[in-house]
Amino acid sequence: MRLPPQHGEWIDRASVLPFRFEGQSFSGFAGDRISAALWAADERVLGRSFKYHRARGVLTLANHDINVMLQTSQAMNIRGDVEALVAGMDLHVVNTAGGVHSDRNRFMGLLARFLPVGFYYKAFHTKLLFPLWERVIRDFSGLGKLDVNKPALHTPKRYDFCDVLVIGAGVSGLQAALHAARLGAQVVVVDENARSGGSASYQLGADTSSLEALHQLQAAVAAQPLIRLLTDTVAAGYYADHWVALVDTQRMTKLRAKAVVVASGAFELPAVFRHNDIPGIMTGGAAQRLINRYAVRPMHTAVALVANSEGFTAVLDALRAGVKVAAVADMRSPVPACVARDAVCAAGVRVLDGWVIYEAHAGDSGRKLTGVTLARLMADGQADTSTQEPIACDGVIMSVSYAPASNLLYQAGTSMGWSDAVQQFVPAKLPAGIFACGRVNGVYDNAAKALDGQRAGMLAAAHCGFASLEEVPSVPEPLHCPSHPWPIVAHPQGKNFVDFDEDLQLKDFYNAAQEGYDNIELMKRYTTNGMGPSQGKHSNMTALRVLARITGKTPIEVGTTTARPFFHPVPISHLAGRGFTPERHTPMRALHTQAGAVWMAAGMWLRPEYYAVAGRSRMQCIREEAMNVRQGVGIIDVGTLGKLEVIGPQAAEFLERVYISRYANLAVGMTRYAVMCDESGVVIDDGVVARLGEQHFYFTTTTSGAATVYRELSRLNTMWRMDCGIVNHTGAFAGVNLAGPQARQLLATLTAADLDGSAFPYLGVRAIEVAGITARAMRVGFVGEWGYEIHVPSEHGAALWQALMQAGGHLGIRPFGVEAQRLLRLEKGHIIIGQDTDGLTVPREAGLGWAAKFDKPFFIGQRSLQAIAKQPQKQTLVGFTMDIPGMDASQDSHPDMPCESHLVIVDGEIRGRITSVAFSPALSKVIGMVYVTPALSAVGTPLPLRLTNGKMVHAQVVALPFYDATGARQKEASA
Amino acid sequence: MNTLTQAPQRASPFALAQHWSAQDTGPAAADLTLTDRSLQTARWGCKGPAAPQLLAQHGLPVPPEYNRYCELATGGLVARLGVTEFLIEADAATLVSLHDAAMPAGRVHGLYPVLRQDAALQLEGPALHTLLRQVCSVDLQARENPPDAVFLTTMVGVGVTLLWRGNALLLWADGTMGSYLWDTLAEVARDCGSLRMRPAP
Repeated sequence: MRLPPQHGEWIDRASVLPFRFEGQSFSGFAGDRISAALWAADERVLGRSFKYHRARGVLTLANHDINVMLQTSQAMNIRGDVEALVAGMDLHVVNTAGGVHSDRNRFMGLLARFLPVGFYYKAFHTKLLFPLWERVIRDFSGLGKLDVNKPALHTPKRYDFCDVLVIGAGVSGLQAALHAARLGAQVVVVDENARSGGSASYQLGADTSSLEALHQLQAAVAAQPLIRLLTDTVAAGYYADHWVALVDTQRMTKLRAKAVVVASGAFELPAVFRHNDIPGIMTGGAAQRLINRYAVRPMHTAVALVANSEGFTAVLDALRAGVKVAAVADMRSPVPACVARDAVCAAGVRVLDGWVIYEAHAGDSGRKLTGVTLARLMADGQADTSTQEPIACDGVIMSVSYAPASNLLYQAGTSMGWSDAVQQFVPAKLPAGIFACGRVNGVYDNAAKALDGQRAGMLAAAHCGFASLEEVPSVPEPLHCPSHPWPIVAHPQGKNFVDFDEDLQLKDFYNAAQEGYDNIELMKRYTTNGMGPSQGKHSNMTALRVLARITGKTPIEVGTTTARPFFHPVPISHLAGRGFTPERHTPMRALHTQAGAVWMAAGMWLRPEYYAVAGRSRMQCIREEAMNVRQGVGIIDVGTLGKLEVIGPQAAEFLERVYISRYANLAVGMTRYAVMCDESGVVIDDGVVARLGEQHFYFTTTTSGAATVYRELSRLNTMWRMDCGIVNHTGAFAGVNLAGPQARQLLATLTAADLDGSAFPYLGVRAIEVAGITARAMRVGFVGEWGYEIHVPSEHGAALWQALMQAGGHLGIRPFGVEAQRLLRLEKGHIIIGQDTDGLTVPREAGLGWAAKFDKPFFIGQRSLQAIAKQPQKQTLVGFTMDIPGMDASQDSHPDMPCESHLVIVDGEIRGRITSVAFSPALSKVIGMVYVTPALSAVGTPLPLRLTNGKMVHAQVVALPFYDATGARQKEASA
Repeated sequence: MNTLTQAPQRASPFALAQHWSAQDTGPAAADLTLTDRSLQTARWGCKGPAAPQLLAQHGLPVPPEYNRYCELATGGLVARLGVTEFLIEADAATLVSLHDAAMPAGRVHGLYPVLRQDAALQLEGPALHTLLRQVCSVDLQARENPPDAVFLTTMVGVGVTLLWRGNALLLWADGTMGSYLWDTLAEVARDCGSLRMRPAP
């Protein structure tokens, strides 16, 4: 029932919001949470429990009522006590069969005896029954139904920064923010609620004048320009160096602070007694939030179960809201002096010291509370059943215990201790830059919280370098204990719930301990306590108390479970916010696209795989590109290669150390193939080294290896302190490879340089001009034809490409892609690092043994290769060919053609693995390279190959290369 | 630096971007303006222990610490990217003089010329800070940042060099990342308000 306007209420009565719930029409006000609006309309069953499908209502209204999960057509698992009401919402409860009021799955409660603790583990113990249980559990479990046809929600991520982050905008948090800002710190305050104030905004007692003090504090914060207050924002995770994930309704913000003040308060815990989950039974905080924030009377007639002064303020709030309070059972005896208690007694409410609720009673099939039975509490914590007294009521207010919201403190590495004075964990040793205040710090009194906040704020500001001349205040010792050490009542018939997420009863913990799971981490996993959507906010502390009693330990000896981020539910849409996946393109990208390039990823680069031609298949295009290189001239973009320079008097010596070959004797104007190994002798990269001057080398690396090689060489140079410097020019130079028997003729039309074979020999490097562009040209032959690799500054890459294409038009020039290049180099028997080598390949296995110069004083991997050289060789890379009858260049593939990674099988044993294979249009046969055991490496050896379908085909070892064995095509002009 | 800054066929690294245009697009008073500076200014780089001395010999100021920059009276700048690494934007004559002194590589002991083919960008506008908070994890506006600070960090996953010049942020990145950078920044910028994109003058 909605109350008349309450002082400080959060709703806007002028804005009426119609909505639907389970097919019925309702209305609420702007500012309502969904649960509050429903409760105001006297809806009592707002959800169903996960396991037994028990009716559930408002429990805490503190942003972790996980049994009230709702769904709209767009979103699922909307938390009723968190989400603001929006006009037009059409809400349904998740995890029901037939609706929340007549959920057909409520029969699960009758099967409780067959669902013991550790049910999942026991159910899956027999493998044969796994499929059955999997199907049954999948049918019953799950929260909400995902509609994959709904449009995706975009939630951009954001970064933010501040000096001091204050988590929690209650009295202590606001005071911390205010005092940190007064010292000059830039402060961000976050709070998960729609407004600041924390418990001071609803825990009023009869006297609403306390709100005035809060409003003054809020006004002071609002007037402080250095403070930003972010409401509806949860600090959901703490990461190293004061990175905190802030989650609001729209996005996730990654905030970096210099200091963090955790003022996150405490979770009010439900008492444990039989049927403590019936709708109408709620914490004191829930009742007070309903009354003071949303102007909703929580019940007509209440019984209160209290063990602290906060409980009596809740009773006073209830009385002010017109609730008839039939009785207050105070678990304590004797009871310490308390102003609120005196006020309750003065109001004529019957207060029973040393009494508890033994059990609650439900009507309407568990849908509503009809009354409770009180009993005297005995010294051992058990109820004296001989003193039972039933009382009719439709609501229960529980205020017996708190647990600090210390999840972020744990994540930050705080060492927690136990305080007997407040019966909770409190920070014992905080990491640098982390501060705590308020209830999470064990401070509950409002005046003390203000001082504690001031203390934390000043210390946080000082940590950021904002010193204060004021003395940091000290905080008085607690006046009362807010938590009962054993707010739990055993009952022979059970249904006294500890964890509402998973319907865990008190007996489940005793049974788990009896089965040997008497460690807090083991018990958590076996019982699944704290593993539901609330992550144990309302249950972990109670479970810990139970385990402490079972094992005879103190809470600090029992310890807590690990609090991992995120400790609060975070929508997946927030996690799947805009991501950044960088791409690299050479300057010729647009020209490739115009030419029909089909793109492939090569690390971060996008490269043309081949150039599509209308009416041709992919393989036809690739083979035609390759044949064009063999018969005319082709051009490929090689700008993705790593391009490094080493300059200085010791440049040659540096290269001698990092590559396995020799470069000190490389003549200026010449290039040499280069193989790089790691310390274990494994081949990790290759390229070409060009000597541009006595102290100046320009060298390439593989496309994928550029960054790694540059980093490693920089590291080595720093370590060795050699007199040379390394420059990474990978992105600064564009590169093309012009290849084919007509390459020289084409290039000659664009340069005045002497391209005669004697003036510019094979493996030579020259600085020339091509189409007016200064270039570095290298006579290399990766694809086995006369060719030039031409490198120019990137800004001229496109112009160079266009000039070559235009000049080569009458020669039939065509661009060729990565696949054609792979085919051409295979014909020539050249390996590709990473394809024809793996993480264990040493040079001699890949046919690169000739490159290792062991007479050098040192090179990376030398000692390992020397040791390996003394061992028998395990495998060697050889060429093979296959004649597949009926296969020719017109066919894309053939069923009998092997693929990369197909195995050589001899006598049922693996004896080899194919690394490269293709149909060669130049040779009209299948060719490939394969690692085989040395016994199979002789030319002419038959190789049995097993195809994917198991069929065996046969190839034959041949000498490499397959094409132009004498290299005549690259020396033709000078011959 | 090379002799090609006058060559007619130069192309901006951003020109490959889908959202790049050779025309000035968007309102003049946009919330965000992206200006392509890649070809607008002559640029040269060098590294090595002799680099500070070379700059000083050519009358250029040397920032006293790394990650700082100095303005040139002619409108250019010298940014110190590391202990001995520099990026210089200046008039062509100054850079040609530097280049000629440094080349061929190895001639000056301890000096290693760096070919700068950057994607260079200027970002400005009232929504700039909103944009930065979505694309960069470094607090570029922290109070303790010196006004002549140079930031070497990442933006939308790309390694960038950044510095403030007045209310505008200057950015340099590997040219091969240019199209991705432009398109991604433009996409995020459109979420932040109106966008003006200016190609190199």
